[in-house]
Amino acid sequence: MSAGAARRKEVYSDSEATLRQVQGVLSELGPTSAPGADKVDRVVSGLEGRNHGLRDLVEILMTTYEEIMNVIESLRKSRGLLEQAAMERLKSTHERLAEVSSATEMAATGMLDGLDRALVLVDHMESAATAEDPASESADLRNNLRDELHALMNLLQFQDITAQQLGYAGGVLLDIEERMEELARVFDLRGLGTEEEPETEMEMETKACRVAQATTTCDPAASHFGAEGRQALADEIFR
Amino acid sequence: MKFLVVDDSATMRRIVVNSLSRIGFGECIEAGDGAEALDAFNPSVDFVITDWNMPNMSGLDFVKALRARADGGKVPILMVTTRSVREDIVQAAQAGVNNYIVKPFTPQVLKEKIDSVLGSGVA
Repeated sequence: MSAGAARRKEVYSDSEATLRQVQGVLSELGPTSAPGADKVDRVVSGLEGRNHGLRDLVEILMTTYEEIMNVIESLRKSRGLLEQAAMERLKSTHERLAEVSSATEMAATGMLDGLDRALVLVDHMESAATAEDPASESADLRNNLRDELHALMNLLQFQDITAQQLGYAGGVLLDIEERMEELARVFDLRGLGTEEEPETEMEMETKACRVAQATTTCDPAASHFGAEGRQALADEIFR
Repeated sequence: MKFLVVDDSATMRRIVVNSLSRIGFGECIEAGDGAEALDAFNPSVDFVITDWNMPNMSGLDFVKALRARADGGKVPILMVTTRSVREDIVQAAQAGVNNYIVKPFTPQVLKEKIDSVLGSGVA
């Protein structure tokens, strides 16, 4: 066998082995998620039992190249669709968290306004009662009512704590979104082609700022519960 | 006695101001973050109550910056925050905070801490 013929046989064997590996991988992906698997199969079957010349080999390689590019294109599209769906969900969840936080703040403000008005009414009741009947028994009731209103006002601290918890969760989502985008860029650069323009430095800095702000303005350990125990620790340190 | 209340949450500022009024302290000025508080602070302020987690400038950085100023070196500072890890509390103490309240708090605790700081002769 001449050196040229030996080389052709070697290339042929390598190509066949590579195609069998591709076929195996595509089979593992399953019949519905392996676009082009049947075509690769046909190429592999076509190779078997044939005596090929150099022209046949070139033709086979060209066909194989075309099929592999089709598979890569399908993978790229699938990756794009998955990425888009995940990003949309992350963004939607982040927006919902921000909406909940904003809604609780508005509600808390509305409640504080209402409690302020109620306290003014109690003051009016007291003025009127004092003028008519300074020794009225209702004075105790008014004081109790005032105490209750102040206690309700104090309970609205839940809004600040909840906003910090939601803000931190939102920051985590932004961070995941950022990491997913980074991962997608790595995939694109490593051979799946790229459709999108790379992010500008300003865009990257803006995202980093959003993540940093969410994590610095929010305490991940903020809690409505166990304040006494946590206060005791602070008291011990400041004693 | 004039208070400077620093918190990025408008709700919390109202609650602190209301609690101060409830326990007998009336005059307050407010700031939404550390940077605003540094601008708002003046020698007429007798007592500072600040949150920790805030945008632009955190409460901790505000305390450090205030302590570095000639007019803010001795003003009593009370930190009111959700942060309750030992390292954080120690860090606040080292920065110059005089006492520390963990949210959520009651007006009674606020009064105790203010009395404690004023009673210790900080002011």
